[in-house]
Amino acid sequence: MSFINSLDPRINRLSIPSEFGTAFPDQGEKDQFITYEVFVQPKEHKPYQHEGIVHAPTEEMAFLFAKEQFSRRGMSCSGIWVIKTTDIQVSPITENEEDIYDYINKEIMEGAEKGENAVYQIFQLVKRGKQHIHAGDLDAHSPQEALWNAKNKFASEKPVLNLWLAKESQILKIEGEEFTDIWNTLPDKKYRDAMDYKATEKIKKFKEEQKA
Amino acid sequence: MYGGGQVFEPSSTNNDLLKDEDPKKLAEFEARIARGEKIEPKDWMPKLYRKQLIRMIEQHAHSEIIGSLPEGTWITRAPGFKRKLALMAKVQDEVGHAQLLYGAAETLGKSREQMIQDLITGKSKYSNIFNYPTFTWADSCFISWLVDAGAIVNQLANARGSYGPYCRALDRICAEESFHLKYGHHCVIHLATGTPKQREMMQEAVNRWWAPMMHFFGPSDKMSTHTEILVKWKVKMATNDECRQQFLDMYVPKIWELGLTLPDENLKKNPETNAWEFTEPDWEEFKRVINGDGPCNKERLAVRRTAEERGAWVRRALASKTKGEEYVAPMA
Amino acid sequence: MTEEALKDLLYKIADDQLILGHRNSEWTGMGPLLEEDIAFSSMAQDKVGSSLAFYTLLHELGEQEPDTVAFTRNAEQFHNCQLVELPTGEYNFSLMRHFLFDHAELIRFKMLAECPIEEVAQVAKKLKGEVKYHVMHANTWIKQLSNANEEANTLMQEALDYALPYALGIFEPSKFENDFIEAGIYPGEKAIETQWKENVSKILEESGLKVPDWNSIEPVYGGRYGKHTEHLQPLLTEMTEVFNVDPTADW
Repeated sequence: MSFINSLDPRINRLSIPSEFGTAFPDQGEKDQFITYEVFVQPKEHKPYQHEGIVHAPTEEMAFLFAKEQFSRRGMSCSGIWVIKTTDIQVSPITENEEDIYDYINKEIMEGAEKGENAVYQIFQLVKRGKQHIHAGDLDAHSPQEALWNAKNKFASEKPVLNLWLAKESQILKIEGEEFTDIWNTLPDKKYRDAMDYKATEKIKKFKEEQKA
Repeated sequence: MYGGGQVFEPSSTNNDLLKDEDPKKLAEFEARIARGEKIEPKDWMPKLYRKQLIRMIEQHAHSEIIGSLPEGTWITRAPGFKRKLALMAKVQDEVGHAQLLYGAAETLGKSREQMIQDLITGKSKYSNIFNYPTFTWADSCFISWLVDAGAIVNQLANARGSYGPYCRALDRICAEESFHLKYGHHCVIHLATGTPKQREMMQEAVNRWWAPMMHFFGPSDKMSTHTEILVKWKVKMATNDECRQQFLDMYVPKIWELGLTLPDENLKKNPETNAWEFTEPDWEEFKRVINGDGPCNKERLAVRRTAEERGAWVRRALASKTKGEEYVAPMA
Repeated sequence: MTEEALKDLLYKIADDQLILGHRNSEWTGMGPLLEEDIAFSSMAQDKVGSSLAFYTLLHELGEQEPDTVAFTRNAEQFHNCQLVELPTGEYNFSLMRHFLFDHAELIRFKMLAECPIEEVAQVAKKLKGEVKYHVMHANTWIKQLSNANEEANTLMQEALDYALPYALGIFEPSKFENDFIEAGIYPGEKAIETQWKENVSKILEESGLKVPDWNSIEPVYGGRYGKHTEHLQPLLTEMTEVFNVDPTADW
């Protein structure tokens, strides 16, 4: 059996059969997990903002992944929320700066199944191409009522193009005093900072030596 | 980072895809793009737009994950703490970028496992430059500086494109790339202005990598078709030639100021046209390599396949507890 | 307590972190799941960065520059426990090693955060937040994987059985145990070990793994005083390959 001979010593340690690069058995099975939407609070008292997704088997893992994928950079982070994609209710999206709240009227609650009272978190998109930002929370007995309540609580002259709603009970929140220290060393990672790589002196010195 | 020269494969079915579309919807869609509004996942979009975007974003994602391998070759051997930490962070970032980009492509309806499978079976392409070997530490520095620089030229252009999720991913990626570029340049400066051995190592790396770098942005657009509608839809934001010129203009002087030479005696900026002239790259070689016959193609895919297979038991185990969970495409 | 004693402590911490971070970086780009690849790589960087903080403390105590200390010593001059130099193996071993090591590190840093030497306390205080996340990560993974299915449970049990004797080597007594305890630097390796056994046993039981009788496990000592497995020197030779092209050059 011949193995892949690599320039990378890590790869040589894996003893990969040479034919691995030319054939691959058809897999068929789905083995990437469902997705969780990730919201990050860059600093205390700033609103949570949507940053992206992680694929994860559980919400704890979703948090662990989100922490490194979405908060390994920057000067600070004070909290992360993760919500299963399927747990987020989504309004239609408007165009041309129309306000989604203009399309929400009391009638949307007609026929809506009235359930238990629940706390909902509301996220708003104010511009296509930007990220959804947390607006606040409210009580409602159904997602439709939550939309109506959101209009009454959050609508303003500034149009909102799209709304996301999620029940508080479906959000894993890692925030507050108990967790601030996991982000303690974030500002110390100078090696990830472009500012740490100055070399103008070196180039200058080199040029002077070349002239001489 | 990733590469340009995106192969928007011309195919006879493209026109078919377009002619079946609702003309009213198409007009509204194009008007939205024309006024600079981003397209978001739930918007109506022509099938051709969706198809080309999936291909483009997916190729970009694959380029990131495969792109982690040439520099990863030196991750255990980086000289000194500063380089070690930086290279570990940079290679990690590439994996992170792949994750962001797969996520953006998923919003268009293709699942991540399908994309990964298509990469491993060779069905989907990735940036050709990563099919070349990094023989020395200096080779990895060349990539960190100049290949990243090339990628940034592309990324900055595409960040102004029409598809929301892709733009958001690119914004994040461009922010992280600024450290990559500085790190790469810093490494090359140190080698080029260092000991004779270091200078020699760097010059040899440059000699090896210049030709692949000239291939990086892809063949001249005069030679490829179907770019018109992609430009109208703000999928293709700059021509291959424009990107290449921008790259040469920004970086050749910086390479020369370090006392390094480039293995192309025709390379110069024409003072009248203000354009860079160079020996036309060998596009036959480019085609050959991108279709599987390069020095490292088999290894790159073999490593990717191995990583997936080594991890299968982990995913299988975790998935065994989540049976019945319904996957839906991410929303943004 | 002498300076020699303090250096003994700082060297073993720094060497552990460097070698473990280095080993864990072997997974970057090749992890079992993209998101986990990213997370594991971050933790590897944290470890290397952490070792730099300790080599810097040593430099302030008169030892050479961190680069020199880390990149020019041979295996018999390293004070890491043998656990961290073992090959990465498959993900079950790497995860288990991460779990066993980071639990010990968290206890150690919490203790050192209270130590009377200001510089050491400051570093420990800062880093323990990082290690807290590492332990959160490890706990979740050990529990979720080991409880998932028979295949994973078997692999994780194998990894645990293999790693435990080496893990006990983390607590190899130092020549200066009494000095540390008397000077109130920290309560000593035995104290960390006792707390560690309690903490990891709890998680391992919740994970459906069998923890053997601690008395039946023979700890693998030697690493703290330069006695290593055949894996360390090749690791160092590789790690220092480019650096040694010219140790005086500026890379």
